[in-house]
Amino acid sequence: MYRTADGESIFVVDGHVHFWDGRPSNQKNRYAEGWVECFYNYHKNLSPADYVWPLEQYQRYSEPQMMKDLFEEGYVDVAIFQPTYLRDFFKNGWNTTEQDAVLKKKYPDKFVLNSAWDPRDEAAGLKEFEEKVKRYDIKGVKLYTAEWKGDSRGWKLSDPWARRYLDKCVELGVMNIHVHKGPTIWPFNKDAFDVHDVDEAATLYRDAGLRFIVEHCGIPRIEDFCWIAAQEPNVYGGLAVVMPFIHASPHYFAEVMAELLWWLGPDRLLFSSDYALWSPKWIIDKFMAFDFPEDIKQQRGVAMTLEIKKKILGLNAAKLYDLPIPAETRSPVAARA
Amino acid sequence: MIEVVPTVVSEQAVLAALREVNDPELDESLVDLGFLHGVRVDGERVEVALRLPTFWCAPNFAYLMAHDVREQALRVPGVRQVRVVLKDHMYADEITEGVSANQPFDAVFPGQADGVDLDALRDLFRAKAFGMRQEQLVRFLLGAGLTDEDVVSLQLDDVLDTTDQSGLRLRVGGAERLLSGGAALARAYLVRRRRMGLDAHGSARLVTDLAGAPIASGGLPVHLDRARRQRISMTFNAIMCRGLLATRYGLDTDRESGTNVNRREAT
Repeated sequence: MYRTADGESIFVVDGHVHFWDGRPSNQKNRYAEGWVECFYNYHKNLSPADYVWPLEQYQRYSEPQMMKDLFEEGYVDVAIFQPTYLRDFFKNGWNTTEQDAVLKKKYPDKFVLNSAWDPRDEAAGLKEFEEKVKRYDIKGVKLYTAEWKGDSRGWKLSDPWARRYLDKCVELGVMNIHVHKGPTIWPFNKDAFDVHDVDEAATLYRDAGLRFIVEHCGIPRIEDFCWIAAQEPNVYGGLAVVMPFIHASPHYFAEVMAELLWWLGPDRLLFSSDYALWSPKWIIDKFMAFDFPEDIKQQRGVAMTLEIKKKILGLNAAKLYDLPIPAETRSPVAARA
Repeated sequence: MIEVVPTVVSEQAVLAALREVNDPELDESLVDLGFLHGVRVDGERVEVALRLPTFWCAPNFAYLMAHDVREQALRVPGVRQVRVVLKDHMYADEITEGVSANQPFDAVFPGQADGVDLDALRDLFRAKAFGMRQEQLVRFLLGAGLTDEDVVSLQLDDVLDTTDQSGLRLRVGGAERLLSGGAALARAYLVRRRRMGLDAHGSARLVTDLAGAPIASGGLPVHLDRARRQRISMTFNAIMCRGLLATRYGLDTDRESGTNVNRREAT
């Protein structure tokens, strides 16, 4: 819960958090080491100096640390676990549903537990996915189309087996499909990180009710993402990686937000810290103090009102996951002015 | 008999040549980005070390840059052999050996390129760079008081001088004007426009679409919106890549001017 100076309470859902294990003991190979190093540099590069951790802490943070950073200091009411398996790199996976489930069990009201699937696991994976959905009451998945598997360097939502998994999601009521479409890393082909397969899937599964949350808003292909999101009402923007720019490059952050608001409107953007890449406390403090600079207001004709901030920080995600919204945050404190 | 005097290759000459190599996606010089780690000259052989912001930088981009570095270094008089060494990358060895042996990307990474060749990738980013530089110039011109109609009517020969320190000298509606600033923006745009291979006659329009077609004055806002989205994507990468490189290698970074200051000089 974030409280404004006027005493108003704001419900906060962190749409993208991890509880990973990047310790050397869990690393399988050189790629795992490169992965952790890359993540750590993202953390160091965009965090304010006070929030930069030592590498050892970053590789494996404790449960109390996470609970404090998210729920005590970070204003978060509910956090959504988005697993990333990476079994070709990490012995027990980087951040799996099973690992996250331990915290979900302990703090059932604090976390939403999402799962994941990989169409390359075909029939066996489909069965395993169904079991997981039933065991953990899963409502969303995080898909990582650029993940390596043996000789394969990625997959697309339009692959035939991906269709069967999406059909299964519809059947099981797993309606929130988070797709990682992020910064330029490793794909061989420029198409491996473009967002057009989301376009096709979103059209195909719109009537069935699936929602596609594009994590990282397709950066660095924001123009493609905006274009697709404007056409497809069931496409959302997950603001992980976008948010921390509010510190590193605030004017640029404003330009991106203006563009996203212009194309998607305020109802389809989800706040995320991507913890422990970044910590929600400083991002939310800066976001609550944020307004568009004059040049962007004039060029784009957009405003960042308190109502819009509330939607982005929690109400939009609450709708997707049917989260109960505390009464105190439901309506503004009676106008005192 | 004419005595053949061998050309002595200097590191400075190689460095100056490499300044012309851009990151295709960021449209900035590899040297300014801090990607160039070192140059070593041994007679007619040159070794260039490259380093990128992450272990995971896309292999096709890395290959493209390493390839361009080799081509550019080979243009320096006296250089016969170039080895481009990529450091700290997941495919460091494959790219180093492949580029130095002048092999095509497909041969080094068979089956991984999905038929998208590097030339197509280069063309795509060349077009993006053109759009981004054009947007910057056009916004500057509008800010300096030109109307949409003025901007879309400008011809190449209306750009009178881009070398004046004080600003850009233009002919607008038949009258000569010296705008305050903007000369560097105009130079950067004109370079990208040339690379696109568009009509270079003096009577050609300055501001056009990718195919060289003029923009109607009523269509300029929509045209600029499209360019803005591309620029936003490119800027994202530029900030990220520069910052990550600095973080990775302990450089000082200046986000405003957009340059990395290399504290550890090339070895």
